[in-house]
Amino acid sequence: MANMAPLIALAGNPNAGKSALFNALTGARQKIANYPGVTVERKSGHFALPDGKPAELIDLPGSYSLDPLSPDEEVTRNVITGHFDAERNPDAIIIVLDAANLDNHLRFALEVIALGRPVVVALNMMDLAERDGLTLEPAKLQEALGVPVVPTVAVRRKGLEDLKTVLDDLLSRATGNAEVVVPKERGKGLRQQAKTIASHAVISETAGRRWSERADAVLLHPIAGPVILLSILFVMFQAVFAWSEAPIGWIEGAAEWASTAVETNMPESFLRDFIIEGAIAGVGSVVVFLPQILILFLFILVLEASGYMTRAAYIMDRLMASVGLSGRSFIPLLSSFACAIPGIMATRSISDANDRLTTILIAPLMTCAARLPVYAIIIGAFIPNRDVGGGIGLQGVVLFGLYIFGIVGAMLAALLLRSTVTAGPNAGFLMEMPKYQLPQLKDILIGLWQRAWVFLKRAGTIIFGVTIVLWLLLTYPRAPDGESQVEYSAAGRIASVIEPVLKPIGFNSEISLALIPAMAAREVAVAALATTYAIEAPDEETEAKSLTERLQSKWSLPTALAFLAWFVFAPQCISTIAVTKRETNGWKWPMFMLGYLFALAYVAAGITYWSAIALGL
Amino acid sequence: MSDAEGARLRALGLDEGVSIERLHKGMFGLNDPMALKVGRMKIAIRRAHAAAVTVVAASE
Repeated sequence: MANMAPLIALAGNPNAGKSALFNALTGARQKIANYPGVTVERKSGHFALPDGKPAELIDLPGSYSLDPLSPDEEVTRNVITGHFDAERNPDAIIIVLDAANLDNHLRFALEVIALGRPVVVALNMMDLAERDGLTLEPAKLQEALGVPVVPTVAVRRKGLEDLKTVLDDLLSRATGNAEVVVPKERGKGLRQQAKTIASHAVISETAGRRWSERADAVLLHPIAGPVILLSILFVMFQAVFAWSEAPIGWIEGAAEWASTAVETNMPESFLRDFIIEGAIAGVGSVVVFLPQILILFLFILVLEASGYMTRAAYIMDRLMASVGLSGRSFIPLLSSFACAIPGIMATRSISDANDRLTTILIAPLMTCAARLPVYAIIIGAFIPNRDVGGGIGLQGVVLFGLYIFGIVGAMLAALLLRSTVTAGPNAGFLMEMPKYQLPQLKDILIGLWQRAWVFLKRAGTIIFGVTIVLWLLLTYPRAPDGESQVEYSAAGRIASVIEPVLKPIGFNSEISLALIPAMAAREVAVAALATTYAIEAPDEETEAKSLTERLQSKWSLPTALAFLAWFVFAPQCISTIAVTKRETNGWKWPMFMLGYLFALAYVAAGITYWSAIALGL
Repeated sequence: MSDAEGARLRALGLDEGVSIERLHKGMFGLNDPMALKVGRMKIAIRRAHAAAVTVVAASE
């Protein structure tokens, strides 16, 4: 153990500025992983102590007390006391306190200090406390607590060097780290003790500039609040589509350039086909969504860092309560409009198990970015581009309708799930609303980088692998002359098995075939249809036709509408199933999700198809 | 209210001897959830939970 870098744990109440301090100390080189067996994130990084020696820093989940009320808080307690198998016993603990909220945050600090471990207190957000009209005396606090207290402003990197000096001192005096036990009888006196200490540390308290209050008077207004939230969401979705056009073009251009380069520089071979059709086309079709996902996350991260996201949850709570959920489900569901995977991962902030499971199960119904290419090609081919009045196009209305269809479906599903498989007492809605803050560019950039990395890693591994397998299934076995390669291939044979099942809802054999590779990712359906029709074309003239024209000549309108309805509900994304398995620790719920979403998709497509036929469309 | 919920309320600072002030009404005039100022922090709470908290008028 002697040659290992000392381990330092960051602990504190939620909203104490722990993550900002973590970012300020470690910079962008952070490692995020899961603790084995639990869905609790382990965030770690390194920084240099004053003498240049490295130290490892871990950011523990925010906790209100050492009596855990969630898996997150349990991890925090077990790491702090040295009882966690998956983590070394920390050599020192930094307790982060919000200087403006001392009487509340001191309770947890007192609990940790009482354990007798090497502890330093970071009195964080000193600037906000001063803005709030508070003048504090850190020396008095240090005296009362009996451990070193360092005032910090993490977002402005103030106090970091002092903190490191104190840590160095603590580590040099450390005499091994024995496991400690949380004493049973505590609690009652802690609150009073916290209050007394806090009141001694505060020298003066004036009204201060309460602009956070004034902002909330508008942003949480019973009428203006929801209107402002809707406007923010509207701007956000506009930006996701408007700002992403150019970067998507660059990515497509780069993929095209890469495949042309390979085509001209490599002799014709299996490997060349594999690189162009399998690797570049497959991964490229997924990476293309990176701009939209990053723009959506830019908004979400800014809203979160500013403190507005908890207000959004507050505004949405009433609505979510009507389907048995709470405002806390709003943020994960909002993320799911970019991609269900980060959305499902964001459900970790929901403490109630039933609420969380329900949110995971309905997250795939939010219209993610991957559905857009499918919607776009079908709407473009079958919905006439005419004005329905007021400059609003029919195609846009249909697209909007598909979004609404998904949201309404999700709400109904939540209502049903909450009264059946995820039934349980209503967990309520209880949440701290932090003061508004100006988001720090560095924190936002680190957050975006982490999201981009997770996404690219996924595109590079799971999606890459699945795309390769599907390409092989479509390419082999080789069809003899005169027979269709698509029908002869392994994928074609599988499609012929599922075709009879899909025929009653208006799906033809090409759709059945396209749905197989679309299991990897929805957007692959477009490429699959294009390939199928390209390979099937009897002569060059037909082959030159665009996919849109071919769809128009081969599909009826009811079939097209049924196809759209199918994609609103179908769980056509293996990565979502995989992440659900990870987050629910087993196969039970991902299998349930797969079953119920396919059933919904089948029924929705069937109703759409037969209604359209009956209406004579 | 269950013990766990009570513990959660206390953890958030809703404990004996703390001063409470109601800050915001709920959306659309429905008072559920509502925003409370507890000590120096602001929390959102549903009516059912708020109803379980005993308050006395501040003596000024």
